[in-house]
Amino acid sequence: MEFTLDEQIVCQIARTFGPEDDFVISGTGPATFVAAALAQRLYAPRLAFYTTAFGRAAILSEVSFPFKFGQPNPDWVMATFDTEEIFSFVLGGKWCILMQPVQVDQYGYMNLSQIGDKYRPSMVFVGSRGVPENTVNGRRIYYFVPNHSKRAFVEMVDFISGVGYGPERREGWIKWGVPYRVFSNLGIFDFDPDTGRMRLAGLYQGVSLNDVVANTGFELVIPDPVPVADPPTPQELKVLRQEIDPLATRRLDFAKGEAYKKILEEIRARGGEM
Amino acid sequence: MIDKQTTVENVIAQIHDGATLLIGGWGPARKPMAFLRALAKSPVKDLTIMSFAALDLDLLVGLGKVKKAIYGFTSFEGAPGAMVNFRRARQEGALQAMELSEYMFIAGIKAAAERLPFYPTRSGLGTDILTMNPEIEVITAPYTGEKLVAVPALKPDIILIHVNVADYAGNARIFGDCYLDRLFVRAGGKTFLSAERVVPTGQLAEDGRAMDILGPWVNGVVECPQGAAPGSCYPDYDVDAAKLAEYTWAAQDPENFSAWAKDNL
Repeated sequence: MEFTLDEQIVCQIARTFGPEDDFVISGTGPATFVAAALAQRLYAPRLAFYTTAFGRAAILSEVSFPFKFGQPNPDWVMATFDTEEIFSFVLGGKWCILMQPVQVDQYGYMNLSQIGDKYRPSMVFVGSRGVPENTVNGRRIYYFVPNHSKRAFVEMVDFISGVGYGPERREGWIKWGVPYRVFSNLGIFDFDPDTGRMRLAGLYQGVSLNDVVANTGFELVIPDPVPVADPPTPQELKVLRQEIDPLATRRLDFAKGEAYKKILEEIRARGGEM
Repeated sequence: MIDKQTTVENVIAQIHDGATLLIGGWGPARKPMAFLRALAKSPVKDLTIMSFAALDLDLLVGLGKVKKAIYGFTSFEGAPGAMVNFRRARQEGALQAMELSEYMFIAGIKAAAERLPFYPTRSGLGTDILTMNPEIEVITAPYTGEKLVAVPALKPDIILIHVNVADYAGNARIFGDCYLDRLFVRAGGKTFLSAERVVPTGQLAEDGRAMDILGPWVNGVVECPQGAAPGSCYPDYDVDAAKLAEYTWAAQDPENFSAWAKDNL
């Protein structure tokens, strides 16, 4: 059975969840939303899918794409609530988030804030937002990098928004919120338990080890033999293509500029509102 | 009978040079834009703005009103706008920026609301938020020896919130997400509400459900239909996407921006 890179990625993310996972899952962007929904459908039915619905924050019991932002099918909505409650979930260890860092480094520190000089930055992003609380309290932290490059995978981040595997953790005063996996468009990564350094955990079909190494701005831990990601199962592909994401909205995260517009037009032409 | 109704002009007259403002809402949602437009046209300057920020902060920065920004994030949250003025000011080093995490921001307001000097949290540990803001101390927990961040109280002089409906006494209902506004009104400054509608006191209590904002926290109420536009106020209106896009375009040119903003917002 043939499959695409984006299908491999969302299936691999979904498989990291299981039946014991009883918490809220929050994606950031189409591919992570689809992966969370696939996880909920196939592997972790107790996950609560976070989105916004009808003017409030909401958790959904099942979801498929696309839907107009803020207006999911009312039948999916388990509960709506005020954004204030999100912080109770995060601080209480009931919040799992898949975030898109601007930079991530060899020890899993992440930057969502700014590039360049700290006081006169060359680029300014949204700010550290909820990353500091998630990386000390979150239930399970994922980083998703759809554009794996030396600009994103750096030796040291320009600004620490999220705490990786540094002295704070080794000394034991940060107990939770450890980065669990990094999923990029070139591979799956975890962190070596002894050194805290980023390690290749799975190479996708169709991506070479050299692609990964040449586009990473630091030395990765590469196990021998090189771990290869299992292909999506026929069941995963069937549910993904027929039920969760038939218009393949997940592709939007991997496209920019004209390619992005083209995918969006194609989704709209097939009746999809986003 | 309590009547806290006032006017936009009277509210703005209470905001002095150097004042600290806490602004309700979240990103482009339910921002008190009627108040902020009037503030933008006033001669007031050197403000400290505390906000989960989007258009509110960007507008005031673009008009040279802001000395210091304290924020949990700066984002239009998917609406077609960008923090053009704010980014430029950051890049030029022209703005004192106290970037906090979302929860550190909340913790600072909680401290103010409970009249405490600080609020403890793990948020911020190990991050550059602490290196950039050396006044924020890390303390040792008395019972366990754990390291915790002591977020200093964030004390506003003036709190501006937009709601769907308020009564003469300042009780109010928010039909969509309250965000952090129930906390913000307790932060210890003077709180002013703009409301899509103002109704006689007692009317909101008729359905027997709990109030979102209670009158004793509120100093003044002003009826301002479309008071959050061009941001959103669920369910009354969504963001005005065309206006936000136009704003973002106008902000690219700092020379013309202030004239444009005063005429168009």
